[in-house]
Amino acid sequence: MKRKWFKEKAAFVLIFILIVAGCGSGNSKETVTGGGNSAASKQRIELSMLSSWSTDTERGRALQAVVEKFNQENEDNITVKLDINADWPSLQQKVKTMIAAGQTPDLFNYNFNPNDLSRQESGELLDFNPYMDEEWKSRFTEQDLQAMTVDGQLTSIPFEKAGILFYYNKELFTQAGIESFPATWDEFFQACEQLKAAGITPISLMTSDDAWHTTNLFTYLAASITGTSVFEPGQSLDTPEVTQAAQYLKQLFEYTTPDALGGNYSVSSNNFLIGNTAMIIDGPWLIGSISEEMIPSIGIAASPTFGDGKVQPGFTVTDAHTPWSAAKQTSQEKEEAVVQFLKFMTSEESSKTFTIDGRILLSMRLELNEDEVSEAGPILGQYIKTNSEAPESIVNIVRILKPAATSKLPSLLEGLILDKFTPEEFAKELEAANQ
Amino acid sequence: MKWLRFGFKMLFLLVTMVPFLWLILASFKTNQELFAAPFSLPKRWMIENYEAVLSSHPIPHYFFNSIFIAIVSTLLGVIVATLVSYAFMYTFKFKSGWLLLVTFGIFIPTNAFIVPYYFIVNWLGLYDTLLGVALVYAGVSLPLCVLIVKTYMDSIQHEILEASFIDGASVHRTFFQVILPVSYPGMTTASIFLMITAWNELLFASLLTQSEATRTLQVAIRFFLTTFSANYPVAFAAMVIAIIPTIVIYSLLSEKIIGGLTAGAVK
Repeated sequence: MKRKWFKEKAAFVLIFILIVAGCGSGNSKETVTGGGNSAASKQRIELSMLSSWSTDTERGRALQAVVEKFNQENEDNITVKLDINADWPSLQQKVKTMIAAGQTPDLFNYNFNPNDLSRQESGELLDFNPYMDEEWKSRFTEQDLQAMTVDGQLTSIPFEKAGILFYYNKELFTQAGIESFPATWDEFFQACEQLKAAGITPISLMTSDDAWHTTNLFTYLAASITGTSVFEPGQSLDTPEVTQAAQYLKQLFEYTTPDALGGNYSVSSNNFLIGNTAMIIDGPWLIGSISEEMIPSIGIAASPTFGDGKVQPGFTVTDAHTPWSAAKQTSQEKEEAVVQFLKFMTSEESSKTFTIDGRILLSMRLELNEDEVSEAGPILGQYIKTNSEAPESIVNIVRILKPAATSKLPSLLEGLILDKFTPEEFAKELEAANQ
Repeated sequence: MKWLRFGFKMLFLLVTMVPFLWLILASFKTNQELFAAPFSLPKRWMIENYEAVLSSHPIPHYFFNSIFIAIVSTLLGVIVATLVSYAFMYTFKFKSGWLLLVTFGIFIPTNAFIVPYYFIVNWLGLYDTLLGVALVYAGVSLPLCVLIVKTYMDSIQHEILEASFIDGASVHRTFFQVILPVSYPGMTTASIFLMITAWNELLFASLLTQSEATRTLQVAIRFFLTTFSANYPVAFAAMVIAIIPTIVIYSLLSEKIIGGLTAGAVK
């Protein structure tokens, strides 16, 4: 009797587990798509592509359009399956985990950092060198291909390299009696003073997260003082030039909003987007957030210089390279499918889609005619023009620091602004954190 | 004294309710309005934010996924924690060592398990399935659940076990018919903890799912706060939708706790 009763309970638990397992696997896929090492079907190849570009953004819609077009053109043999994880840090964590577990995604993008080559050194990434024929090679600059080559292997295909430029509100500039965007830093400080006197906050800055808008300004200042080689790997950050840039940065915090201290990207960019500030230094993705009414008031400009020839006028700070990488494949057909897709992604036609519709500034060569530039809209047109005329560039400091220094940067910046550190101490602390 | 108590209650209410009310108000504003006047009432109540949340992504589907994961992980976690806790009511060799082993997981940061969990879930063929995520949540929360349920069972007088055996009940029957009914308060506390953890978790949900079919509500909220655009009011609307079940569950189960606590064990 007791045994029967117990069997009934056990059977109930077992049935429950089976139902649960059944429900769960109802949503499962037939194959593990992340498995770069799994054997591919000979008839049809499915490539799993991981990205954070959701279709809520212009770049996400452009990526989806390109993927759909490729799938249509190759409907008999290749399907690229786009899987979106909108949270960029989570996605990067996931990709690193997948690589560590030997399940590298077929295709993924990431921020290239010469101080963090863990992905490249994993031995799990596909080397594109054997496939880099003259035609494909001609799509990129030699400098970008070189930058992506680690230990002789080209494991990442250059893709996005956004120039970061100065956005300014022409209406607010006119109210302050400023006729054009300053060409030198002396004029820039003068303009800030004029804006402040007119009751307008000159510039949007922030210190939280990666202090993006502030580090753009800091990189522009440091490069203007020293040249675009100022943050090259191996160079010390504890130099008189970096100290001087920190000094200027501290001065410029007198011209920003009170919420810059502790503020994040959204706070800082929204201050500009609602007309609270007259300037911001950001990438082309900001354009999509500018309201229709504000568009005619927005101007795009390159950075001021000190006029001493250390940098060429019109130089730019850029975001990190955001290249695409792929898993090493055991199947030759799948490997070729990956290359075929990346060639399609980096083609002239796809590049136009990414630039005009997705507002992404690319590493690939791209010639846009007048019509295409105007199709991009007044701000993006100006942006593309200013960016393409840049004679030299430097990557934002936050993209080349070691992870420890990146995480310490917000507190260092806040310490500098709050007089906890002198500019000399700031440079020393930054260098120490970067070791 | 009465006024002082009332004052403290009001202060507590203010501290806990103001951020929630602000979130609800902000979810009815435009992005510009939110940053221009963060504490004002909306000029126009933007119900469109809620429509945008529900129309731009299959939120009801993500909602179901989150509920499924929360329920399954809670059931699994509580069943296992209750069985483990019951075993610890008996005396056996190295009992304290086993207890330490079972509960030691509380002190290990879950991030340390990212790669092993990913590998094991993948190996089991449960990657990108709801059950895979639920299993991991149950596993991650198990040490604390065991501690909660065991601590409660420790308060049950051992005479009840002895009485059950004298009446001829087996170990299993004693568990189902004697111990389980009086352990509900401990199990309910563990359930609330497990369910809220499972509902709010983001890291493993991102790591162990990939397709839209298995996306949870917490992962979906990130769609409104990406690196390249952040529409806070719409994200807040999604958060308000996501918070509702947590409040409902807590309200319902907290009454059970009180009911359970007042029930007598030894009669």
